[in-house]
Amino acid sequence: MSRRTFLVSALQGAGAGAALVIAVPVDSLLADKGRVVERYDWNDHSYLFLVDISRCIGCGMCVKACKKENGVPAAFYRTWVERYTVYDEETTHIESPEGAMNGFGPSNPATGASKSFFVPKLCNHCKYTPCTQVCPVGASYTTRDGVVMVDRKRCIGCGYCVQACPYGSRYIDPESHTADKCTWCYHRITRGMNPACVQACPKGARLFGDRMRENDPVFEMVETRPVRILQPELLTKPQCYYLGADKEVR
Amino acid sequence: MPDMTGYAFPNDIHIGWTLMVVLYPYLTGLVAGAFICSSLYHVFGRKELAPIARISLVVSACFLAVAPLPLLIHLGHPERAFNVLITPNFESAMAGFGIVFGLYLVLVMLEIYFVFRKDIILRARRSRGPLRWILAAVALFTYDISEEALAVDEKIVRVLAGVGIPAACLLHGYVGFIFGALKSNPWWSTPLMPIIFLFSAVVSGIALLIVLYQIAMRFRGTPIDQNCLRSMAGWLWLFLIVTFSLEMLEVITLAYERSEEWEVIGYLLSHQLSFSFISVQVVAGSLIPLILLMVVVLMSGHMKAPLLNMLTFVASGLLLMQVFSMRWNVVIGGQMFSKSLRGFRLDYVPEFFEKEGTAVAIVICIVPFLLLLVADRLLPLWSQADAKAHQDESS
Amino acid sequence: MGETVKKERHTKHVYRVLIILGLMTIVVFAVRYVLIPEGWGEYGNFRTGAVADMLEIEPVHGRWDGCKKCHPDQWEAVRTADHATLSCESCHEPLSFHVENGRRKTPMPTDRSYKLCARCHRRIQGRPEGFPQVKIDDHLEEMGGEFGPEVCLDCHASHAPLEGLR
Repeated sequence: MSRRTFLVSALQGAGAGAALVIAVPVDSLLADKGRVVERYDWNDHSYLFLVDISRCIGCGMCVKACKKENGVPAAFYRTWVERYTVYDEETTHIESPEGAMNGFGPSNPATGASKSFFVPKLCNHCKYTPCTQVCPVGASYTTRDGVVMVDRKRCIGCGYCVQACPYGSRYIDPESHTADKCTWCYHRITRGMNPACVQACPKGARLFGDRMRENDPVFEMVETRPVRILQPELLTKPQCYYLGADKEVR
Repeated sequence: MPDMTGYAFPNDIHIGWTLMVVLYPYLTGLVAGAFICSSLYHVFGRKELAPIARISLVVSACFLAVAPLPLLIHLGHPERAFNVLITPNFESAMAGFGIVFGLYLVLVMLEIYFVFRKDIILRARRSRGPLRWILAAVALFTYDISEEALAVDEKIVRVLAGVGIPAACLLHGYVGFIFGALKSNPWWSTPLMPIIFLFSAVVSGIALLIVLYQIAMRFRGTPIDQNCLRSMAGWLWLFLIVTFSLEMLEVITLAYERSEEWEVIGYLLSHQLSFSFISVQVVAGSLIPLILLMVVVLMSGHMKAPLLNMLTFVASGLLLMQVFSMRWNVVIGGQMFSKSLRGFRLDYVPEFFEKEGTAVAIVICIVPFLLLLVADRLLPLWSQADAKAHQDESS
Repeated sequence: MGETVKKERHTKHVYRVLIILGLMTIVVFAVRYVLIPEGWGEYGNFRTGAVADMLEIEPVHGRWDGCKKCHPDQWEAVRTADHATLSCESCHEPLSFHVENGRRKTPMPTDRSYKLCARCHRRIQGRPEGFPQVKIDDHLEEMGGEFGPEVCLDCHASHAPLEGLR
């Protein structure tokens, strides 16, 4: 039985209304092909993401890792890092050269800045997501474990979701001509790994959590620390939280 | 990489909805406008509009046939376009496209069929060979043009035209809703959007008919029916007043509220859109026609026909441009700034030769007129009198 | 009664139109039914197979400790020193570049450029104060180094940057 038919039969076995349980070859990179197989049940997970701004050093390793992990085309970004330089209450300079794929340079004059910090950005995987709402063909969807993804085989490439996302997280892939976005590295997290950006972050500024895991440290931080979400006034209920974000961050 | 100012989210520097997406609402606007114009005659009994009652319906159909083209060209996967009908997501305004468009197409074709059924049969009777068979099939193999049958047709046309008005509003209103219901974009997000789209659609439809009517009459050497033209000018003026008021209302409210949105929109209107919005859409496209049409409507008694015709013609031409620039300012204007509300594209000019470029747009705009020429060959498009001429010619 | 019969006779074409419309509707719905993809709508307004498609994607980067199995010594050296929180793949390449089906595919390259070090340790606007960072020119002058593309590695061992100072 090929892997493909295996997956399909696993799907059919689940049946309508029941839990979606999909067999995932775990650690396939290091194991012999298909040797270790673990069953993944999306009802057992509820993911969330936490960005700790005070820890980010602006190295851009996350952006580089994301690009390589997901083959993100040039000039498009599933994640990026912004640098905010606040000079006074009225003047804030923001930049993200190439999404910080190669980190940041010292381009800004250090003089006169009252504060400066880096802000990693990625898809917020909103609970009430405007992008999925507007997809005319149901190619954008939210999984039970809370990840917003695109069905590349159904997407017609109209670009409506790109317009609807208030965070600029989506783009039309110039090669596949379909919408694309951050998936929280769904192929990794379902194998029990961290998203590539989280793994690449040397300072723990990016944290990936699961509400349904016992004593999850990330969920605990979100529950007990003063976190905020981006553009809360739009009521999209982002599942990506920010710790220590300045008012300028949008 | 386009020229930017300020900070834009890195994915936001691309113009995803191009000239083709500007063209689509423009074309469907003409469709809806022309249809409503024909309904003024069929439903509301504006008998003075009889000379353009038939042509307006056919114009509507010709533009309707072309309207999906720009969208198909725009899609990343046009071969999957029917997914909109196969697996529609009814939470999306765009999912309605397939259904609304399909129903409207059926409705317009039906109305055309019942309006022209008699002419189709007459034509079939005097044709020979394969054309006779084709026309007989179109006539559904019953050549019933008795008084009673024609009365039935007329009744059906009235119902279809009546149903067609809300359908036309739906077809165009939902286009406005596609933009108006996006909370991510302050330039689009307003409940006024569908209404503005609708009224400006009617403006563009009537304006197109005035231009077409005058040109066609000149070519045919038939005198222009001044009653009809004056009536159209009046309707055009009315719809222009409403459209322009709504368009200004939207901007003025935003400016007066001085909320976060205005930071972006104020900049947009004074920089990137200063020409296409203020000069073209407001001054040349709205204020001048407003004055011209006011002169036509209020002083028609003191004016010679050629002057009146010319003023209406000029005003209509300007209005066709106004509505296009309005579509441009909405669609392109809404993408000239980043969702960060801090960064702006400096400009956007479509290439002449590219997939979604100007050349393609021009071709798409020419096609409906070619279709119209073909239709003119087949059917008597210009009024009952015209139909009579067709009959006389054949007998 | 007679009038009704008469009316019916003159509405023949209308009934034919209605029959055609009915047939068209049936065809549209039938075609649509056939074309609905497998697994549509089981868990929401999407194709279940789309999730399977995503799961089938092979990771490019390995696990956090994916390198440990073959390189236990280096792993231990890095994890007990100042670069303990760095992923191996940040300075090398993703694991799948190097390993396929559990076997070595290509030699693993190493980025030795000073630019890589500078991504984190060059003193620029925005870095948190406590984080070790230098102005490259000043640092070289202070330490008496000569600038070159791999200058940092002259003194620092990348796996244990402060412990193994040369």
